[in-house]
Amino acid sequence: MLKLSDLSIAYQDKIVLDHLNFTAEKGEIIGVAAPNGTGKTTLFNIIANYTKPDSGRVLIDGKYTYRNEKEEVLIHKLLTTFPEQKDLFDELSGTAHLNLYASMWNGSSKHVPAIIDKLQMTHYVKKKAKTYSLGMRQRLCFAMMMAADTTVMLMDEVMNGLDVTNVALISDCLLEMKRKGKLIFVASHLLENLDLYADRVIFLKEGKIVHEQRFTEDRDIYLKVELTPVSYDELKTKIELPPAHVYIAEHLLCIPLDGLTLPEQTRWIEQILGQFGHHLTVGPLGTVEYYEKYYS
Amino acid sequence: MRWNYILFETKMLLHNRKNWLLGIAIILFFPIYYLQYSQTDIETLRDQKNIEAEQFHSIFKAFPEEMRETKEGQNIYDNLTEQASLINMQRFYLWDEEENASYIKDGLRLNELRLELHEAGNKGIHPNYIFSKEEIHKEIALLNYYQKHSVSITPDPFVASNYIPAALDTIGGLPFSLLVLLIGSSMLLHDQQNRSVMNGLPVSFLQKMFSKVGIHLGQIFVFLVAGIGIGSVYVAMKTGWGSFTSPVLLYSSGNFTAVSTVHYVLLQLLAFLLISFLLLVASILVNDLTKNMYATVLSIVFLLLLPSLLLSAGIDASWLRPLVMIDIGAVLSGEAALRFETASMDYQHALSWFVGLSLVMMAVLYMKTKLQYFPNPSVRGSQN
Repeated sequence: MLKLSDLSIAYQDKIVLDHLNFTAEKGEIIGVAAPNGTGKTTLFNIIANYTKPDSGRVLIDGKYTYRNEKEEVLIHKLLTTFPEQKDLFDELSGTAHLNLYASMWNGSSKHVPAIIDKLQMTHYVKKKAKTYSLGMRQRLCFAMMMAADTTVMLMDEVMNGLDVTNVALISDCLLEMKRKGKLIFVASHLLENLDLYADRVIFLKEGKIVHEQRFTEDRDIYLKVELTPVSYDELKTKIELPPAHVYIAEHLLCIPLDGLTLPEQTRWIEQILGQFGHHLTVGPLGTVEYYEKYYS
Repeated sequence: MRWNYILFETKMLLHNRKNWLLGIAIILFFPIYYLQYSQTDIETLRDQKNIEAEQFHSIFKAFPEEMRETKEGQNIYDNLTEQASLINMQRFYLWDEEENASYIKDGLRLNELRLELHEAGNKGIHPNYIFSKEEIHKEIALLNYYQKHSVSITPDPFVASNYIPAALDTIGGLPFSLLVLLIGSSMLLHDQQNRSVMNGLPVSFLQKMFSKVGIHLGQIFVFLVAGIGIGSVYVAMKTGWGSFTSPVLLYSSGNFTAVSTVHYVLLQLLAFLLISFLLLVASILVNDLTKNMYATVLSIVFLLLLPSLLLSAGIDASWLRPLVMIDIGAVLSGEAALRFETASMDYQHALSWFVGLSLVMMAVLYMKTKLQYFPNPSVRGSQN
């Protein structure tokens, strides 16, 4: 559905994207994790052709790329980007915003009332946008994406300003949209939340995808324990840690259990429990842990 | 999609308070300007004929006696005598509407004699009293119109039919251009201020531009027509409607022709339409360079003022004539042609220039859009 080939862009001396390659299919949610200023928004802007890359190309639906304006319009019929709260029209109601997106992409706004119900916006959607709180604005922005109902959606900071209830509500909607075959890119700082609905999370660093975490495949299991740097150094003198272990952000030691026999795994658990008591978990590395691994 | 986009843009336009204020200014201009216009001392046909008659005392006084001794001199003197007689008869006919035909017949003969004098070199006549060829042709055009159409030869200058073309001539030129530029200045505003909402709409740039220009053009014309309507009703209530078939002089290809007021007003409106379109397209193009609506308006106003500034500085600005023609009132009346001493400054040339310049600007916008998709040669290899 979407193929990024050899994308590169640099602003003066800073390389933002460096020969980046990536492919995604319909029915996937791709999380994009990276600190601010590492190229998430630039990546989305290039996919939507708001920014021209220095090199490389974006291929959508196997045939469309940004060769001319006609193709750009064809791509934009398949693709929407998440509006920013500050860009909403203060003098227009939420309904007017939703009708704009629904009619521009689908030629009809019949499905708008259902979206309003789903996102629990009925009590405010007819008021002017200037009266909305941050959370209300954010829900409206998300509702606009639902109203456009395109195959590809690029959502930058989709959970900004939302409370726990609304994060759960939007997460449900994302899962439902995925089931309907949408390809959704989500850039969010709520990393644990990404684990709930993303099929993959990519980590951008120095213009490249440094890691791709796939939730749909079997993942390596780790023995995880909270450890101070002093304790970690002490432990290394007492026990020979496996070469594949990782010590994340100077607080989390992760020992891979894959490839070990059951007695070996038990021995490691006993050793760690003996040393550090109850501070121990077993499981794959989550988005937060990978994030800390690459950016701390 | 495009229709939905136009509907949305129209909704945004209706929310634009600045444009409503400008619209009210346009509408109010027509009744308010009448307060000043009605105080103007407009020379009537009777006044004009009285002045012409009085001038003959001086003309005969200044005519060299010795010239009358030659055959040529005697012919000129006879010509002048006949002219004086015809003018006095015209003054008499003006008192009776029934004598319109006689007035016209004498008027045509009078101007024939004036032209004969021009052919004879106006010998013996003081230069101050020579009736210019332009004035003669203007009068012939009016007389021919009166002869062809049975309309009053002494219309009240303060009735609605006479006021509306005068008001349109007054608002035309720089004031109208400024209003159009100010109304159009917000055309791209929400595309810039609400970028992330508007950016990805599946509509091409040119479709967006034409939709915006179209609805702004519509709005300007609604204001203009409303102003004309309200102004006409106001004046009609004060002095009467007048006759919209009464003649107005129109300059065309070096000649003056008399056309009906309706014809003249329609020409004015057509010119206003083309000027508005040209200015709106120009403001999109300039805004694309400046990215600032104030800079856009100021740049275009400066361009429009440039020919007058250069002319007053004594610099040849003939190549900027198309911009002078924005003052369509001066073009239609022939004033611009006389000022710049060229017969090509008539309404046909003006309208052609407006269409031509608009096409050029649209072509530039089209090419600019096309060029955005040309790959950068330095990275062409990696684009494929």
